[in-house]
Amino acid sequence: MSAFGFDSPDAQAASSGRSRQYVTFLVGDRVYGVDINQVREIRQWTPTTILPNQPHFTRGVLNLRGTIVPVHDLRARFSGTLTEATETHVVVIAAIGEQTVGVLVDAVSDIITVSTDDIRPVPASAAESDLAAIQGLVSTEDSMVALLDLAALFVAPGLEAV
Amino acid sequence: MDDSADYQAIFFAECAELLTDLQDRLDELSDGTGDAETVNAAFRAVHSIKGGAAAFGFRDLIDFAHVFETVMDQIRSGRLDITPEICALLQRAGDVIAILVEHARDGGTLPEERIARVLAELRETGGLEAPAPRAEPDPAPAAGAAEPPAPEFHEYRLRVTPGPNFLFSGHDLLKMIRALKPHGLIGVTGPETLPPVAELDLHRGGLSWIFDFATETPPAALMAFLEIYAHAAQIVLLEGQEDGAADGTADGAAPAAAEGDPPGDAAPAAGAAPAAGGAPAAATRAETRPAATESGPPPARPAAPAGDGGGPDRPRVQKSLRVELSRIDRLVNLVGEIVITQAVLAQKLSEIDTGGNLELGHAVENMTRQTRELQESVMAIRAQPVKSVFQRMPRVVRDLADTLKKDVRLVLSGEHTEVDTTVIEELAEPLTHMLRNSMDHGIEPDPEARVAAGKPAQGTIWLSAEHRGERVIITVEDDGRGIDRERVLAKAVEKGLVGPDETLSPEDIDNLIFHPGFSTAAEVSSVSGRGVGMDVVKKKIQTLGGRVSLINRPGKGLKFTITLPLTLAVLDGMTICVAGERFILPLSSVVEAIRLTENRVERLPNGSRVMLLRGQYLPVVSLRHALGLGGPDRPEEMAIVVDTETGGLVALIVDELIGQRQVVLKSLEANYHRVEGVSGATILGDGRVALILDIPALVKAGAPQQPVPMEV
Repeated sequence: MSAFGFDSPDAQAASSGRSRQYVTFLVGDRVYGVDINQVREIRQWTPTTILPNQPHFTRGVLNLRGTIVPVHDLRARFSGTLTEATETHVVVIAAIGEQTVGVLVDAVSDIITVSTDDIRPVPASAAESDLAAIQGLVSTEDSMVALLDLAALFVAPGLEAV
Repeated sequence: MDDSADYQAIFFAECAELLTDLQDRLDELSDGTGDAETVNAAFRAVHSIKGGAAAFGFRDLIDFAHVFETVMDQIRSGRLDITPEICALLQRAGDVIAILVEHARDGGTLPEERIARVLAELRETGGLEAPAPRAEPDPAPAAGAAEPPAPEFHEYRLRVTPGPNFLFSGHDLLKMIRALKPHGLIGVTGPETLPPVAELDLHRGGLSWIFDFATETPPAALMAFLEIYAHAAQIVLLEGQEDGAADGTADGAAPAAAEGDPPGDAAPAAGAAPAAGGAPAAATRAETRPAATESGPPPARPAAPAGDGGGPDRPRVQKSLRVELSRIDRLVNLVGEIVITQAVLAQKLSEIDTGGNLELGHAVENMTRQTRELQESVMAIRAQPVKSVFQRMPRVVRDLADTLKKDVRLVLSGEHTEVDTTVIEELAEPLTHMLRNSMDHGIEPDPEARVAAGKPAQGTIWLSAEHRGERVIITVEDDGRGIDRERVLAKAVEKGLVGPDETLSPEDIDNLIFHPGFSTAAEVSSVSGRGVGMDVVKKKIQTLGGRVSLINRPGKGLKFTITLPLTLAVLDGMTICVAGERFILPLSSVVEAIRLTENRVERLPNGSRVMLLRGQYLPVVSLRHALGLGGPDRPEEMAIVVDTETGGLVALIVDELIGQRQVVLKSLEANYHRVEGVSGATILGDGRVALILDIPALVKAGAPQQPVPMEV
């Protein structure tokens, strides 16, 4: 349908190849970033419907204007402890390929523009499996931002097996 | 305007419909339920394909269609009798034409030898000479109606006014002009009056071109040739109406074939489907047709007048609209949301005090009813008979019968069972696999073995569909040798799928064929070997929300049963509450609901629970447990007795029964993945999501006494 290339933000980002924008958010005192092209909207936390027998970090599903969207708890994904979600918590709705997922975080912090040259790889020594989902690290004035690969975090093939 | 790919796409879409129609007619003929009108209809289908093919220059297709329709024409003119042999030949020809259409669309290699064989058979049957099939002009109308008139020179002009659907019908003025050149087209004059460019809409039509001819072809023959445009353009003969072409007399219809140049060979056929008048208005066409048909040889027409008089003279008259599925999907989604919003509205209104305003209540009730009707109507748009997929199966079987040298017939039933479009599209692949499996492994290779086993030499496969409640049951059954359990087990042990000491029930052994990578074929055959197949079938059906089971009768045959949801869009459900969460049970599986206080739950020595209901012990499954929800913070009060389709009745223990309602099915898989025990989700009146439970899967999961099913 997009015969006229309305998806140009992606195209621009790719073609310029120099700087990218990331939405950053907080979980505890850590800062994470997700490519702004992936982020669809930010919602206030509302109770989800529990899915039976799923990984602990999957908090269930919510109704996003008629579509069913799973919500994953980023804190639980990394640390194992569930977030005690309240009305002040937010869900970042993001697109991973064709799918839409929600990511529960403590708060949204900023939008940062990062030159691709400034993205540093994760040190190899920290070769924990979870760190594979971190695309790179960026340091800003006051913190380090871990750029997330949402696909690796939440739709990795290993998680699909029932 | 040179975007012929689009027109081709339309042509192929039309071809698909025409081929379906053709197949129907041929089936009727084979069953002996056909009559002269059936032959006419089949003829018209082939003829229309030919007409379209001519516009794109698909030579193979045109030539074959021509011979094909000539033979059919001889049948309808009574020169050939409808015998089983002829029917079989027509079926084969139908297959070939389908192959040719596919080839024209997709390219690839043609089974030349097979086509040549069928073509030769057709020619022989029709008494046609191979090298010059067009030398004998279309026999039927020619024989009765006219002696070939002496070549005569005509000059005349036509006014061609493409209608609004001209382009959308796959036509192209330039192609038309090219096609007419061999017929003596000497000049074309463009529209005299052009609207301002700003208002120019080529799709709206209404512009006229003048075509000048100087030719030996009489106007009537030309008009007959132009009949393929008749529904899309107004074509009027302006001058030199020498032989009264406007009256549609048939005398000009035959001879055009004499020259036999490529587009020209459409002419005799067009003459046979007499539209010699080429009349612009549909009404005129309807009048000219029977008149011209009458002019055929008298003995050939026992049933034809009845057919012609019997109202709809061609299937095309049935108005239909081709709409992109994505548009319907959007509509379906929208309606789904309206249903939810309506439910929210109704709920909110019931919560507030309306001060005894009855009209408000009535309005809400009306709206509820109308929304439901709206939803049903939208769903009906998506429902289609399974026929469109069943239809393709006879060809699969005939092709395979040919390859495997087995004599097998396929018996279809319940083709008119309607199922959601999305389900239908996904069915072709698993059904083909299952048929192949039956053909390859089921039906015995040599007929003697069958006869020795007391079965007819010819193998039979039954493919049927029926509605059962909210589901569709599709069965594929053969009368072959069934599954050889010893061989299957030996193979499974050899492959390490089963331990050598394990004892499996006969049913477990049968189900091994659904195991990935399992194939008992001694060598990999091109037909159904390689061990992909039945596990793929099972996965596919599961993604459609369905299940496959099989019944094996060794030596006698094998029966696969697929159960599928009728639609992937709505469902009547029962809302229940477990551990504070609401869930939906499909109403079709609910048998009854009972209070636990009235019926005692007992424990068996192994810890599983049973409940006595009217003298019968039912297994008890706690949904709280099966769903892995937290411990009981309130007592479970209700038992819902459900039918698990395969495992009989089971009592599900729940906290609370909330009520019945229709729910809109939403996919979990779209943004997540399949969750065991859940068939989908829906959105409740308050906007929250509720899961729709897959009862058989849950019961399996919640019944620990049963061995864990084989892992995928």
